[in-house]
Amino acid sequence: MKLIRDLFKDYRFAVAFGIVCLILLLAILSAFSPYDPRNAYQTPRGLPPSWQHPLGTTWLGQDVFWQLTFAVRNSLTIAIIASIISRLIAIIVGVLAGYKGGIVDRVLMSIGDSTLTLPIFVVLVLVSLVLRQWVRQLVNLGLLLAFFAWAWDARVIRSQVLSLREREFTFTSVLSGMGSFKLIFKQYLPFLLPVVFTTLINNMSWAIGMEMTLSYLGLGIDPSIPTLGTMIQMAIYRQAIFLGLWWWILSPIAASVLLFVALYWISLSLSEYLDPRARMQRIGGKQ
Amino acid sequence: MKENGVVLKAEHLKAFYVLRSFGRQVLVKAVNDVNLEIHKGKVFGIAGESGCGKSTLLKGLFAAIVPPLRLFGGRVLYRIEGQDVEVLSLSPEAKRQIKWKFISYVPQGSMSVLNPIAKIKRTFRDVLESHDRNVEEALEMAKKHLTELGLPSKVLHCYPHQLSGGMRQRVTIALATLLQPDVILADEPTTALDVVTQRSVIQLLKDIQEKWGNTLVLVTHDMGVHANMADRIAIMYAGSIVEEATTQEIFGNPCHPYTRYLINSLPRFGEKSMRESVPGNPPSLSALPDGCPFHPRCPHVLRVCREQVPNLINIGNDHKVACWLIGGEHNG
Amino acid sequence: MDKTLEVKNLTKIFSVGSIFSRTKITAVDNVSFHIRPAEIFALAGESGCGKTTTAKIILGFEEPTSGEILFKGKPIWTWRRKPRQYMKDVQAVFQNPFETFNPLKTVDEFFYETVRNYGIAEHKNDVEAVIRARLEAVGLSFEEIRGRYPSEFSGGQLQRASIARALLTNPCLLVADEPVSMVDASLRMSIVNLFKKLKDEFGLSVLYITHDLATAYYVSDRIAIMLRGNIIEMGPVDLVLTKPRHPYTRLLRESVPEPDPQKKWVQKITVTTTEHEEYLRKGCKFAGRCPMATNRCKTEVPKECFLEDGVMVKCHLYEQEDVMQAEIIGSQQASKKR
Repeated sequence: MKLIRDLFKDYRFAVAFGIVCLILLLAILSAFSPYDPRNAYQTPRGLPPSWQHPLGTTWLGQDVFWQLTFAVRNSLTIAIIASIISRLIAIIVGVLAGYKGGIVDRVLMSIGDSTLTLPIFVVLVLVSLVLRQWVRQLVNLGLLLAFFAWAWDARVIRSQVLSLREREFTFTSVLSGMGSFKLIFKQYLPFLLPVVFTTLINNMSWAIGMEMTLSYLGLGIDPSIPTLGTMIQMAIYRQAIFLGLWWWILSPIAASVLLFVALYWISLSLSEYLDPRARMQRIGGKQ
Repeated sequence: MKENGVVLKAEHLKAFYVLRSFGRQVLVKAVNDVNLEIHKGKVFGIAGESGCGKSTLLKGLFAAIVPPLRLFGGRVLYRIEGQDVEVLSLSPEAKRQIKWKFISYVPQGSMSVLNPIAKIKRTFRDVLESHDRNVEEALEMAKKHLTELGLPSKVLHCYPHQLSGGMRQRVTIALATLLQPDVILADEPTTALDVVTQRSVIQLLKDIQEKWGNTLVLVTHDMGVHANMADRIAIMYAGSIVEEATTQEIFGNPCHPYTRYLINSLPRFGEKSMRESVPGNPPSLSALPDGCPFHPRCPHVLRVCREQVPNLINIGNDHKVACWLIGGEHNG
Repeated sequence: MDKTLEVKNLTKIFSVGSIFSRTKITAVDNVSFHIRPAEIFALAGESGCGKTTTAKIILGFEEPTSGEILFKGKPIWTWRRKPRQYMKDVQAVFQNPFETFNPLKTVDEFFYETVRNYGIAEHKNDVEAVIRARLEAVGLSFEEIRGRYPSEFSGGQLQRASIARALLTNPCLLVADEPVSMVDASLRMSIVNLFKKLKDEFGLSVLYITHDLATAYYVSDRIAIMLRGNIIEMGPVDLVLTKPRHPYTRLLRESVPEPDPQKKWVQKITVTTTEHEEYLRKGCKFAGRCPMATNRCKTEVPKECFLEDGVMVKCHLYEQEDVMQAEIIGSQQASKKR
């Protein structure tokens, strides 16, 4: 598609895309893992990287490479759930608040602002302690993170909608007989999507980061489920550095750093490309 | 430039916009070989449709040729204190010295030039400070200047949004003339204003000219404004000047078919007879036709019009036209 | 007499300012006028005089504070119970053609939307035929419009497209809010001639809102001059613009720059400083700038005086000539005699 071709002209997007593909490949490979990720002592312990075990093995007798594939898959799952659900909530709330205005706007924004003022960390810790069993599931953590992530963007979307509502083509749409729903969907969405997409990707980074932090503290996900966070936590808990098993701790760290950089670059190049003013310049150049 | 009284001159000025469109380079020929001589103390009007290049020409005259606009030939000369200065080759520092003192520029939509979150007096102060005046002096100068122009000095203490559109425009003009420049370039100063406000802006420009005897170059598509203000008018079409003469000549004896259309398309009170606009659309400046740029829309087009660009020749009475229909014998 | 649109005592008050200082601006003050079928009615005045607000109220985008608007004899609020029915008959064209269309979407989208939403045609070929016909009526071709974005057109072309879109539903009233202000002076004729043609061929009525008196003179049948929310003069356009009575109309008329170097402006004028200054005046709103203002003008609001030749003026100067007043006095005297 022309869109993809244009994006690839930006070197940052090209490189980042490559990294993301690599990571996705890892995630897909997890389906072919010969080892069950939850079981320990399936391989000799503490082996350095070799042909048989490309990233070595852990002190608990697990193959680091195959662990990583699961870790990547699970972390991405949490991130995707958290970001997509929070985007959906943000769009619905933002559009309702901006378009309807009045009391609907006030109520929705108050709710949103309340979630913004909550100390995320404290709440997450509390929930992890109180609802220990519930939070251990991947999906639930995703939902919990989504709860904190929608308010900011809802406000951004709301202000966009407010300004779009005053523009003349809104009147033209009404005069053309378009109902509110169609108006928002067809006319406003092209303006709103750029914001949504870039924050989606930023949100994914944030979600992965939060998960890693929680796991590092021993809260959140069940430590036997491999995620980037739990892998690091396990490695540190089991004195990987002390024991000289650098491959065990370096692999998840390297993977997450690569992932963060890639996501950042994608969101950067996407937002530059989708900026409405830049789009209009490109449209004009068609002559 | 030995002639008396020529204060600003453009010679074979060519300035094009260089745009990249999907990997290809596109040249928008906004100013295509323009020659102009502007005399001291007069009002020179430049008229033409939107997109004919007149704003770009003004930018060129102000030596503000910045990317994506690039100079492709020609020069612009200012006569400063008896010396001819070729402006386009000066360093930015040297240009800065000249700007605002010798020549100033009132841009299109100049109402938005004012800082919306600062009171007017701060904007005035900023301009004066950057030309080495201190703060107290600056405020005094600003007050005096406004009073001289008949504007209430209380506007200094207002924010731009508190003023009416017309007042904002006049304040911007006052700002541009703060240091009493010799030449003022005004780009569409009356567009988007209603008739009464328009009249007050023009009145102000006239007052300034009468008081300080400066030169005014006025760009607008409104021929009525030119009739009221200009001493000499140049009609621009698709990047070139097609006719240039005194105001009386242009309105009394328009020669170029485009000029005739322009004048006849304007409604007049007392006449409800059918009037026509210029038919068709102006050419894209990046894809100019061969020969005379007006020939696709011209009702009297000849074969030579399609092939060769006519030169701007003097047909007497200081009236210049670029058309094969007129002065054919001069062109051979 | 048949009236397409009748506006009666329309008033709209806005409250502006911050929490600490709110001022009430009467944007539209007791405005009354009517438009007949196949008539071009001009509503003229400076910017900020309330004409756009009036248009928005007529179109239903704003609610009036008080007053009534009748469309084809019935009040607007009954029409707007079925908004599509109303909008089919009353369409609009706006000032900025580049804002009228969504810059990120193609121009023809609105055409398709209008045709489909109002049930004008169903089958793809019929839809195209209708659109093509309307575009031809304004001097554009379907091929020119298809698949192109607003930024690829010139202002004049786009404005004509906007008019074509408004005509798709065969409206009987077109509200045109400053349709030519953003178009080059030399191209205004092509747009304005369109209105004339549509009036003559299709019986369209147009509410032509403008500050350009020259085009108003050229194209309209009747005209009303607005000043800060009040209609201060109204009548047949020939009379009002060639023999202006109200001092403000005279000012407007003289301020139109004539394309004739022999007719230059001689007098100097004064201009308001701030936006709200004139709105908050007691008495006649023009008293601050009027060359003939008296003390009475500054305190007492003039009432409507109906003159012999059909012109209405709101000015103390013409009280003696008011025919309605004369009638009232006449009948009072007649009843006294009995």
